[in-house]
Amino acid sequence: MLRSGLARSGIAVVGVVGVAVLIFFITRLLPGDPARVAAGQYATDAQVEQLRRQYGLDQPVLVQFGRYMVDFFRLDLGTSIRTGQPVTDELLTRLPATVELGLLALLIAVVLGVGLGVLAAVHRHRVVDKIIQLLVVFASAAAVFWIALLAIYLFVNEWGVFTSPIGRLPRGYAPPDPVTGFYVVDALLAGDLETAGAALRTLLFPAMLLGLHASPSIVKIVRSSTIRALESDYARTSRSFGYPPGSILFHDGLRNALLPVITNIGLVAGFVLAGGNVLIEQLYAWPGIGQYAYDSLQENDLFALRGYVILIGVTYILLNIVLELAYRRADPRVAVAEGR
Amino acid sequence: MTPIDNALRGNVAGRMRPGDSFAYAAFGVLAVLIAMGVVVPLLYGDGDVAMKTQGLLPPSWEHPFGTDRYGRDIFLRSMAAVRIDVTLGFAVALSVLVFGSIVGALSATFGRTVDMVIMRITDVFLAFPAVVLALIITASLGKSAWFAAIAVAIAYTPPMVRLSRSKALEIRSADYVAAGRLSGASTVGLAFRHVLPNAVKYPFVQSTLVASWAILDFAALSFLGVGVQPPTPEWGSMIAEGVGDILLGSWWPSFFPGSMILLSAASFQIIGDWLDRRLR
Repeated sequence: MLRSGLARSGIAVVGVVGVAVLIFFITRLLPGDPARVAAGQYATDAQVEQLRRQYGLDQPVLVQFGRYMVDFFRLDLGTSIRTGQPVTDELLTRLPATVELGLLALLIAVVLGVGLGVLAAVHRHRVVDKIIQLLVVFASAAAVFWIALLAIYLFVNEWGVFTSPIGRLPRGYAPPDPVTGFYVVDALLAGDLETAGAALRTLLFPAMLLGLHASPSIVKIVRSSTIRALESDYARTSRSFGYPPGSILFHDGLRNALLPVITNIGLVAGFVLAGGNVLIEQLYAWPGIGQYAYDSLQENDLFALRGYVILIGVTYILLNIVLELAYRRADPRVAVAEGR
Repeated sequence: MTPIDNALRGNVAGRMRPGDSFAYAAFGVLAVLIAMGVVVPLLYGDGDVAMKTQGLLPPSWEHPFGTDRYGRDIFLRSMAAVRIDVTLGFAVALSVLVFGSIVGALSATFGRTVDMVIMRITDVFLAFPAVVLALIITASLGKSAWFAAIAVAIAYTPPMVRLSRSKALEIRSADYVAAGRLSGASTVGLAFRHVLPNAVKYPFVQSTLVASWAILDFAALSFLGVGVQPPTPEWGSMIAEGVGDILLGSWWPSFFPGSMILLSAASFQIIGDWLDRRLR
């Protein structure tokens, strides 16, 4: 166990360094010119040259790479061209908003995914299953920004179910004292139920969309693994013993079917944190790292964008290590199979 | 599922199987979409006649999808966009398929160091959601449709390499490959003559899904402003142009391009799922 733990942290370190190297390659070695990009379309050559000197882009690539890696290990992701602030600080102040949204979205995705997946498996090859499968296809084939836009139009403008998406709280509410950075939790800690309710309502809308968008892969996995479990020999044995279907579904079906979901959560979480997030945060004016990435993109701030992408990659690798450990705890067969 | 189960459900060879009707519908939708994308712009132009008609007209007989704020016909623009978006889906899927399966097969056939290096490289790529990778690549190369297309293709190649490699590994241990090796075939020869043709089925199925994801991600990049630049008609950038209008009550400038994305991406996915069941 100790040895495998060391091996895993070794793999994690290699992965994290790999992420940093890959992003350097992409931003510096591809034929694009960051100084030219940053200076904008109408800059003169002198302005571009000045930017290049200011950010050390006139140095040899190897020197730049060395500096970049040293900074990376000191958790310094460089300076934003747009704001002049350290990218690391800017990302960290915005992280709680993204994590709050991401966690609720992940919860919604898992509940929705497991629920629909099991429902489809129980009614496999029948109408309910067909409908769920069609829903899955449409949920994964719809552009998330399009669905979000239509949802804002319907739920806010037409029906008035949710307030305008203008950030983490509706107009007229003051943000609670920061403790965790999660508005709902902070408001509860401060004993302000009204603000907590308003924050939760505001949070729920983008989280629902992000959750819906992330659920299809979970539905697919849960459906196929539940079907496999329900058609297994052990489930048939339970059936022949006369156990009720509900008991068979929970003990033979679900408990075995949920294992692959743990691995899949890593993918889905990466997706929720990053994939759909830039688009959703921008549409909902949600002040998280996704919106930061969007703003940096619009202002051609490659350094800030680079910091965002590195944060996503590193988070994803660390998350997968944690999930792998969770998987070992949940399924002892993994450790046995690896001979440890 | 045993053969008897299959027979009981009517899945006898030669008959329609469950899911076939969806797949045929998907083929039909895609064919109609492509045909209209070719024919409609030829007959009626691509709708880029600004100010010819009134802006923001709701859908009607004359303008089935309505007009946008510049008075351009959204139906004509959506059809003209088929040429970019669906072509892109096919092009990305094809290049990912060719490059990914060849590298994967070579990696598996060579084994050892080559394999290890290629796998570590793909590992790093897999730490990013494809759309984020495509975003940073496009942003570094510069905002253009070509760069966005290249970026999407790069982002989906590593998973394809992994898939092709894992299938190729199974085939590499087959007897006919061993026989080829014994009779003195070169490693590259083995990879192309025996491993690749037998392994390519799975990457092929995967590539139809890649087409669907590519359409979605390309539209997302254009929506974010780094892909296709206006006024070129493309679904993602058309949705972006309609953002201001939809919040003021005109839903059609964004709704119809988005439903085109939905139709084409869903078709590719249904076809992919169907091929997956059929070929397995």
